[in-house]
Amino acid sequence: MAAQRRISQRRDRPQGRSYRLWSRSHEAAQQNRADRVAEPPSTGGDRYRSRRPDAWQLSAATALLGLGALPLLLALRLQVGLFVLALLGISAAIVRWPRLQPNRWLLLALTLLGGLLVLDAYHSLVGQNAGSALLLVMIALKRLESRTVRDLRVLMVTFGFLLVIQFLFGESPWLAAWMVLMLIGAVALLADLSVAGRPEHRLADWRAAGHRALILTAQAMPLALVLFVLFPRLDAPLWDLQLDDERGVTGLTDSLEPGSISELIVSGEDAFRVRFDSPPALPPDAMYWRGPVLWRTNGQRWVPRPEQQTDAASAADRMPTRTLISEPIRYSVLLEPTDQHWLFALELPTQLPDGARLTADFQLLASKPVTDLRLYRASSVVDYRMSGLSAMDERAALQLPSNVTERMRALVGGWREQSGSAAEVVEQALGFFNRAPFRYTLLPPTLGDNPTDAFLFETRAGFCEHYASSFTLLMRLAGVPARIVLGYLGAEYNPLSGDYLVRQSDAHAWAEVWLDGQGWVRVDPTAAIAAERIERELRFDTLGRTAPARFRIEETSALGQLLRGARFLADALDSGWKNWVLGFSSRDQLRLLDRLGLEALREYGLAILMTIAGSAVMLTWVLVLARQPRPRDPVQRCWQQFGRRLARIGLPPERNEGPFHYLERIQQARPDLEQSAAAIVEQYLRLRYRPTTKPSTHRDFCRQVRRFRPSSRPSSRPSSGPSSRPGSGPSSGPASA
Amino acid sequence: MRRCPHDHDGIATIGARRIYILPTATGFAFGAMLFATLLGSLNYQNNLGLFLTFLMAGIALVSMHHCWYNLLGLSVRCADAEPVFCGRQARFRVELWDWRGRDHGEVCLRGGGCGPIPASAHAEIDVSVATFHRGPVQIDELLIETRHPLGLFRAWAWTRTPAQVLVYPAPAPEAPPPGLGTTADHRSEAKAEAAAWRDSGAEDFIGSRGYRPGDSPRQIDWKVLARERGLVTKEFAGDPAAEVQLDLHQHRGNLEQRLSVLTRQILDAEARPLRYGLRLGTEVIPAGRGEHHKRRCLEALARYPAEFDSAPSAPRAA
Repeated sequence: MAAQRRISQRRDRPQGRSYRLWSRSHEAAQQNRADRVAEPPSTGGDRYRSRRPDAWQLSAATALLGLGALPLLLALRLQVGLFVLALLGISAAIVRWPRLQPNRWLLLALTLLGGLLVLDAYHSLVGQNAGSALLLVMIALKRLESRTVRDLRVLMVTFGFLLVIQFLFGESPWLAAWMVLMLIGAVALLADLSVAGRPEHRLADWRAAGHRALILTAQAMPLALVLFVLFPRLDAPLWDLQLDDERGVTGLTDSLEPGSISELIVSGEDAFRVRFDSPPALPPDAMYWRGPVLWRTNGQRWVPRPEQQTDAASAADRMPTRTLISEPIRYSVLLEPTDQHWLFALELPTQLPDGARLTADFQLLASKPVTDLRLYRASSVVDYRMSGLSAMDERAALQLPSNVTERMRALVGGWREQSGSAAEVVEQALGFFNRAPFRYTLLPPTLGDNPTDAFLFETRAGFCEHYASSFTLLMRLAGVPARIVLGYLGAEYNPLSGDYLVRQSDAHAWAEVWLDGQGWVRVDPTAAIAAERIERELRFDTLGRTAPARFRIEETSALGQLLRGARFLADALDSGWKNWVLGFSSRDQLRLLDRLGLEALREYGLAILMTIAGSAVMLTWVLVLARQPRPRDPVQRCWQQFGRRLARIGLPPERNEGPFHYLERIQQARPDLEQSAAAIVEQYLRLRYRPTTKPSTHRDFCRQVRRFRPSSRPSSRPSSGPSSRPGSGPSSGPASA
Repeated sequence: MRRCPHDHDGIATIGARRIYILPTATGFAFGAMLFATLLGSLNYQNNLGLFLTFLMAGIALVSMHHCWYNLLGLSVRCADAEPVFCGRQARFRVELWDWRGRDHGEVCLRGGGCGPIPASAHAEIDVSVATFHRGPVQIDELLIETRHPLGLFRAWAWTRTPAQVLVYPAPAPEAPPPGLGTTADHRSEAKAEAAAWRDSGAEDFIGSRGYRPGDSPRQIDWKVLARERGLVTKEFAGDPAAEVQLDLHQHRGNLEQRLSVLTRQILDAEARPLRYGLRLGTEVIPAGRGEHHKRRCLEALARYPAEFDSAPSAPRAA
């Protein structure tokens, strides 16, 4: 044993000279002692500190790191991912060939290299991506350096951190399930590492560790759920580290130029979900979800008015007078992160979501960019009249770019001659789009410096943004105040969840014109083109899900129906996940309190509830853990009951006495119980040690035990001295109580 | 800290209020990590991160209870250790079991090994205790600890134990060969002769005695015969008849040194086939040999009252 120890010491000897000297003298001392006295190996505190993990534990740690960081590796830049994989590969190889273990200087160099790689990839060492990349690189280096059990433990602790930060990169249920699985793996490894004395590693040990990890996780789950529901949330971040620096968010932007919407249309991502309080009277293809409003153009690009002109303070003055005609529609919207201020609402919002304001052009703006899933309630009126266009608005709605051509003026001039009112001009224009060979295509030919002119008279192929922008420009030429609205058109109803889903592919652009007597009126020039001229492109069919709602054709085939059903189910689950897991917020918590009638307590109520529920859960586990195993044998069970009955009067069975001695003691302490106890003991001995064929006998025995109810005070028989008082027998040792 | 008392059989059972528990270094690191992830997830309203944090916190909490329950209800009995020479490790065999038949994870004893305690089975763990003084040493208490199941918490309990070990004096590195024969017809000349023999390095020579019929001619001291001093037989080690008397007062030095020398001599005498007796002040052990006799002598040495009144304190399990 001692020799083995020396060998292991030689192997671990650190590099430096002074260490070597120390090590050698220590060794000599060890040897000297070992010669004289055969020392048992000293197993002191170092049992926990410098114990070596075995090859299995090292390999498991490497594998866990690789698998656990997989989602992050896919999200990070290639060079960082490859570096991390290389480090993990070396770590795995060291287990087989210990000679590969890099020394201190090489590790330092690798650390520097890792830092430089991250710096090179992200030009920073902080922020969400760079920080995560750096953390991952450092964890991989730590794994490379790990030699002791303690190192591996530290690794598993940081691994927990790594698991959590990956939720900054994705929030799908699959990722969550994967992370929980990895957590169970890490717990199993921790459990395995905590075993100190083991002769060799066997498969059974892993099974035991895995079993333990599963039990612990299962027992922790109720507590985690209680905390998740009741732990008070913050309404606003305490600090902002700008974590979202590089997350690519698809969605509308605040300007319109050729191509900005066609990118969205091919994106299958969700934009938002809507749940109406009551079934809406509106068909899905008439649901225009308004977003940014564009006023200014330079002939190519459309942008909103500068913010100060739509300032909230003056907005109320300049807002046209509104007359609401239809009943308001009430609904909740669960908006995916957009990194923008807009909240999407139908037509004219009447009731505003919390923390949002309405601008003069009826945009709903949140006070902060929507960086996380946001749930808001709103109500809208789709039918209304307005009057009183302010002079400033009128000027802005008639602004013309410099690149208006003669052809355009001539076209508009013709319409103006033929019509008496603005409404008729609009009719004329829509008629023009319908009759002229305009095509709807997502792949329009490239347009030159003057896209409007080229589109109107040459290519005549484009999609909503082309139609909306050229229509608006033509209206302005005709003297009709007009503006462009960006947003989404349509929604898909999911019968399973009752939600309407709006996708990025439903992004749309349309125009609004001011008609005296009616106010701002929505005109969708895209809808004016003849239906047969809409190009149903191949990718709509193949991607199915990405086809804009307005072009979706009802599936008739059985397979199509089935697929659609599956899609609805997936959507419903997804929506539930987003609503109840990702979007669970302090609002939901307060609603829960409301249901319980504790709304007056607010956050305190949550804290109290959380404490109570958490304690209840823990108490349950305490009871489960304290539970004593019941013997299988019914005779044994009833015998134990006999002991418990006697323990109540201070005569518990001793561990080291058999039934005979127990009976003797009972007789000594409580002569009044002698007969009944003797009968039970005798019956027990017969059942235990003499084979019996009748199964009814042990039932008799149990009945006998149940009838045995010793009273705590001996019945009037005076024969007993002071020694027979309950509790004073030799049995009442503290250990057995 | 409160100790678990033992009953008249020397069995201590760990009760609920005798168990202490604290996080280990890993446990503290785990807590710090949880705090960081909690703050981060709360701040960024990341519900999944929050859930994973709570799950990890729940695992830690549940493991704390498992750790505590791993000691609860354990019965501990420590047997007396075999006598050892001072300076060596006394090895106590500790028996652990759960009388109620619950399954226990790995439990460690300070100074000893670790082992799981399966339901309704007895685990035996050896505890080594360093010895610093001769005489009977009681270990008084055992430290039982566990880091089951995750190593995030360490629970421990002290149990009292009546187990003790008799520590013999450490044998001196070297000692004069066990004293001369004290047979009935020993002569002072022979003693001197024997001393001469001893000095000349004849290690096996022990002494001489008068000739008895049957002695081998090779053992007859012919030089003595030539000086006409009669037949004298030389005694060599290995002769079962050889007998020495060891005496505390034969030697110089302080008491402990003298006891050490005697210990070495007893071991040497036992190694050679010599019969030896021991005189310690008033206590006299008649000559004899064999394992039993050796133990008796060594025990007498171990229990010999100390010169100074520096009562050796009982070492704890180290």
